[in-house]
Amino acid sequence: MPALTLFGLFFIVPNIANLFLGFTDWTIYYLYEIKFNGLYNLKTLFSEETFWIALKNTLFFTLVTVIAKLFGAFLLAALISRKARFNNYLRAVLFMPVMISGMVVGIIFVAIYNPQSGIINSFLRSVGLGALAREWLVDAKYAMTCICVMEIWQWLGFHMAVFVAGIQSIPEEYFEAATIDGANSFQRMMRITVPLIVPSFSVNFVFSLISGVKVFTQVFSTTGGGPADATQVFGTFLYKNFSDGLLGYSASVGLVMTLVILVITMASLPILRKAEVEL
Amino acid sequence: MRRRLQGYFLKAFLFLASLVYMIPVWIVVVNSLKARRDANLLGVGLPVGLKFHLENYRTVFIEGGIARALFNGLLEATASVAIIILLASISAFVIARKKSRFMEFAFYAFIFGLIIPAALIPTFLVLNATKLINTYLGLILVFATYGLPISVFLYTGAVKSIPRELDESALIDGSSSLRMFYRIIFPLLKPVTVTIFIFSFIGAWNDVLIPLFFTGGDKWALPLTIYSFYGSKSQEWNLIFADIVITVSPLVAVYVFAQRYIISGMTAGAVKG
Repeated sequence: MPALTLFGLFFIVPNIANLFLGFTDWTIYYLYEIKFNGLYNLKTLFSEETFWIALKNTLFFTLVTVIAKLFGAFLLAALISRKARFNNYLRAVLFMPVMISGMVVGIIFVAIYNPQSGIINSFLRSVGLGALAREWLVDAKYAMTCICVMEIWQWLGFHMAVFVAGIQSIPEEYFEAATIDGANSFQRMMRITVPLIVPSFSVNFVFSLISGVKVFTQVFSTTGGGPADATQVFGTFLYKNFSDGLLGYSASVGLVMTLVILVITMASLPILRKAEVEL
Repeated sequence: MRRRLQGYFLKAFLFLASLVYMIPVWIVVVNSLKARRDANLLGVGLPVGLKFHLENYRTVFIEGGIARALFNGLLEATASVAIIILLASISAFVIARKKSRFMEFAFYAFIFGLIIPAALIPTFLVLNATKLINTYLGLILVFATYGLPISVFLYTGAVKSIPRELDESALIDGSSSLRMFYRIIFPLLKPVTVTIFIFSFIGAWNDVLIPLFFTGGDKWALPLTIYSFYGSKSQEWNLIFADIVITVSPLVAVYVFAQRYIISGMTAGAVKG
């Protein structure tokens, strides 16, 4: 099993090694001197305010993006699942950002959110709503939400397409029969579509959950964790310590991150299990 | 009549929604063709006097190290996808067919890999110990590793839907098991292979995390080079936008021609598993 060897070398072994490295004072400056320092790293970590900000932001990001992606994508899918030329155009346009690196999307949105001349503020001013203009990514109060919006923008089309594929796999006769029985379009959606696309729902949930908890690029490319660490998430916080050369310390950040993700996964296990049955 | 009106209203709403997606693209393209001072205004208008500053692209090509980054991206994405498909398909086959404790363990190890984040710091240590740090090979192997879990997962589901009698009859006909796999099973897995190919290729092409942690600038592909370019040219949006156009155009061009296959490939494989 060469696959397992590769996977073991670069995934399993590192994850196990992480258990030890997280409790060492290893730094890049003394690469060959590793000493255990017990719970020192964890103590420092828990007393560091940035860590709590990163935890809060990661959870916030995950919650907001998962809910918005699933609801938004389902609504759109329900509206455009019928085969028509206009719908094909919409699907193609909304799906397109999937092709673009999160890094590039981030840079584009830096331009869009630009406080002076970005399109959002220019538009608000030109329709007389200048009072609503904000310093989007620069203002700690809005920066994290702005990053969520960007992530949702990029992936909405993908999740929508998964729902559309699910809806289109439902036999047309079901809907016809329901129509003959006098069900209106809302009833048809709630009684036929929703129960029959549970598998697509699960797939979408798993994908958005994973990309939520592992968020890195979206923050790195827009704010880099700033202003003043207000938008740090686990991924960027870990990278910050890594680039400072604090290998042992960032390993313990990774360790805590893994634990948090495991807890989240356990909490959503009922949904995941459903996905496994359906897949 | 009311239905008709509703239909038009819905269409208008959806058209506005699609504008939310088209406007950013427009901003990028149109500003990449402007002179620096106009581009920095980030507006939606056409270049002043319809003068298209194509020289922005030449500047980016030279200063942005595009050729090198393009080569890096192609090499890294192609090689890692090849490894993923080769290894994931055969190990999924073994996992699905052999009933043993070890295979069960292997399957769940891969499943865990879907959820648990990669331990980047110790991976750095492993790469360092194997002398693969800051090499193409190391980068490709890490890309391939991170792509394995989802691929093994999808392939295993697909193999299970192929009747076991098929491989038995081939074995009776006297073909070796490896030959049987590549002649008979692998072609049947084509839909999943397409899905995995698209997913992994896009993933590797667009990823920034792995090269950022494990390699220096000379191994970076387009998305990361654009980031360093963006850092050094923060007041020259004409050049940044031109770099963005160059960076996204290979995949977007493929997408424009093959979007139907890409969308159905990515969603059908994911839904049916």
